[in-house]
Amino acid sequence: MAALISPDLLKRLEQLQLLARRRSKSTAKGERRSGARGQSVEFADYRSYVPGDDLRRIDWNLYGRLDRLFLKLYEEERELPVTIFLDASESMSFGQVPKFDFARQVAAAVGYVALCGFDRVTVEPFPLGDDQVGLVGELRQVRGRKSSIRFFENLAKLKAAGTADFNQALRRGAMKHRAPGVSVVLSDFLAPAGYEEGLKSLAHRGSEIHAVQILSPEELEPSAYGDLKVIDSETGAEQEVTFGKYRLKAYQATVQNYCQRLQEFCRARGVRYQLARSDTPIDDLLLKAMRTGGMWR
Amino acid sequence: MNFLTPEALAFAATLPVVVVFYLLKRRRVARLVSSTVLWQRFLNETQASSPFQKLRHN
Repeated sequence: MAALISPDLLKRLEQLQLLARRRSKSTAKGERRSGARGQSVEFADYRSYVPGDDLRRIDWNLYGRLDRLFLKLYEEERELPVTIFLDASESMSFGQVPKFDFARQVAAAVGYVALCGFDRVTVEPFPLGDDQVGLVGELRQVRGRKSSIRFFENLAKLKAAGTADFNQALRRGAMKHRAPGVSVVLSDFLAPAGYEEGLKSLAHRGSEIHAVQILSPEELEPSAYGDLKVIDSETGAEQEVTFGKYRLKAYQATVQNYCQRLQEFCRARGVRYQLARSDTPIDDLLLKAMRTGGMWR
Repeated sequence: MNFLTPEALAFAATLPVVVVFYLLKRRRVARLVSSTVLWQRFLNETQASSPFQKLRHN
């Protein structure tokens, strides 16, 4: 993989802005409106003077008119924590264009948009291999556009291997990142134990969640026909299937049902859902689908 | 004409049956896939788990 994202696309991503429906609740300074009062150009409210307040913030025009001291309050701008949950399990390494490569590109794009907007980006790959612990430290709390090159390099070093516990990974992530912000979940959502618990615990934190389900063409319309014994790459579970062209429609209906259930689950919890085929051009997903999906503008 | 051990003849007759079953046995091609979650659902939705189950529901 030469470059995660082409320079052309990067330029177009620079113009985008991550949308956040809720006000930032983080404590660090940034470029997002927050409920806190502080220093910015955006006027928020008046408050009567209390001894000890900064004299520079008194509204002297008002004092001239009313003979009373008032303080002008401004909205404080805080940063928006962006957390990207990246499924790095064995199942993501499948596909002509591996789903993991696709997911990485989306992660890089989301990260880049966030970094350009002075937000704090954390990537949480799961499962975490022993050799990747140091790497993941580098992918935490990244700030500033200058760090985007390092951010891309570190993303490119990640590998998809091992068995993931989707629910546990998201539950842990929700505990770790307490400040609600924007969370992006990049996965195939094909976890044997289901995805409900994990998404629920993340939604309870009050952060804005975007779920992007990445499926390979082979999963959507398998080309292997005949008497098969399919083996799960993660769990090693075996399943005997007799499959032919005549059953393709029924299979596709199953996939559609699965995706639809996920979509309905997401909608019921205010999670924004997006389905992406791993062989679609990345530009289409990033600049069209995710824009209309309310990810950014 | 008669046989010394008719039981042996009966046994000999069962041998081709075993061979036929062996030939009829489905040889499955092992295939590594990303996840069997979708396949399991596919089988659950399309296969009747007990005979005439589909008929009963309709």
